Amino acid sequence: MRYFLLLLRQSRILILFLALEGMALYWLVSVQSYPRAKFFDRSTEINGRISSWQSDFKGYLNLRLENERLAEENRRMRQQLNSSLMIQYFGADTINDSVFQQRYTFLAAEVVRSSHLKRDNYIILDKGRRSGLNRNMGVIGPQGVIGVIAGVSANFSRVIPLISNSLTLSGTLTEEDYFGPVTWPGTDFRYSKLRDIPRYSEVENGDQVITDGRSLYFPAGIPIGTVFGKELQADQNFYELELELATDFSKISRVYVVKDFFAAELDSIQNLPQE
Amino acid sequence: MRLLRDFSFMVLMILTQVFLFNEFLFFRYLNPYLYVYLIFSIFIAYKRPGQLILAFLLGGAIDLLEGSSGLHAASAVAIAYLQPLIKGFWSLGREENEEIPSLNHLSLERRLGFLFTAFFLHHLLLFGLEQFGISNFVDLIELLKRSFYSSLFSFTFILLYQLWNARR
Repeated sequence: MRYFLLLLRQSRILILFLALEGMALYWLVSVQSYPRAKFFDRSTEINGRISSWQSDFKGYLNLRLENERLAEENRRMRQQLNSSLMIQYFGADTINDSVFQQRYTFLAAEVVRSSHLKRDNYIILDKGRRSGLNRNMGVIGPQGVIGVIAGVSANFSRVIPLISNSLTLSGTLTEEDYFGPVTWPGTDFRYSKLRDIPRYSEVENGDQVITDGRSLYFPAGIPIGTVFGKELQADQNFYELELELATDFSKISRVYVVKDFFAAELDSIQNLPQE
Repeated sequence: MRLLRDFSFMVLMILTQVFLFNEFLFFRYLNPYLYVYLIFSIFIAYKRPGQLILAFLLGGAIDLLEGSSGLHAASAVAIAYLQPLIKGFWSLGREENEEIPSLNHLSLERRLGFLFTAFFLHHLLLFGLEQFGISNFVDLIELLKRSFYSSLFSFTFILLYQLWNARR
């Protein structure tokens, strides 16, 4: 017993070290992983509050740029309004004006904190459960796709952006309909990769990559990025395309959260038991 | 009194790190983590358990403000634990008779060597933990490269400070 106590006394530094390190690592693994998504409400809430005023201040400095970006988006939206379209009526008998059913709604939110230099980046938004947000909702910005919500607290939510190792989205080429997974290689926040595009496709630099119906959580046609290089994969049958991301992750501030009214239905049909 | 002074130093350093240094970007990619320097300059004068606990608090505070959940705490505690080892390595062949442990007993070259090794190890741990597991060789090279450049960048600041101090 005395020997044991002596041993304990001699290695007290080591024990303290292990205890502190254990605490830190527990904190780390319990928050970080997205698929396991053990999400700490508390930590998001504290982070959000501290960052709120910081981002308020930065917001003032960037007002002009932000206005320009929003104006550009308004312009694009206006083009798609009914008033800027011409109705071509070819004399059909019936007009069915209830074909369109609202599928997506958008909620504007503001970024209170974001990172773009890490391997696994994250974004925190100033809207949470109280505003009706939930896990697995898409987030888009004025320039294109941003990410997917991984967890919500009462007033804030945490987004896993495209520039994170744990998010893979389906992307389609606008010119041809080939599609593949967009996965971030983990180095530079400006670039990403689109894999599995067949060798016989005629993809060229400058082609747009957008979301399609396969990218869950997002409406079709949201820009993901622009192709600027291609390379054959190891299997020699598919191209791996280099993408320049549409969204500049180093300066995002206003975003829209996408709410899909059919999410539950889609989910249930996808998970039907196989017969 | 000393505790109060060191504590205010710590708060000042944390604020500088979060609001100033984290805004510094080099190659749009690297940013310096200078708060680690406190572990070698101020904490080194405390007893071992004190060093570890202070390092944990320091890293934890950075984590809370940066939202990195435990990354900095883990690597700061580890580097505080390893610190005597690295120091021992860099003061080989010297006689140890320090009343208050401090870096000033080392010659400038040894001090700089010590600081660079320590910074590199800290950054390696930090980025390694952030990456969480190495799946292939490319990842490893990327990690080493990133740690090296990043610590070189942080070290440049320290180097300037040390040289300025040495000249006085």
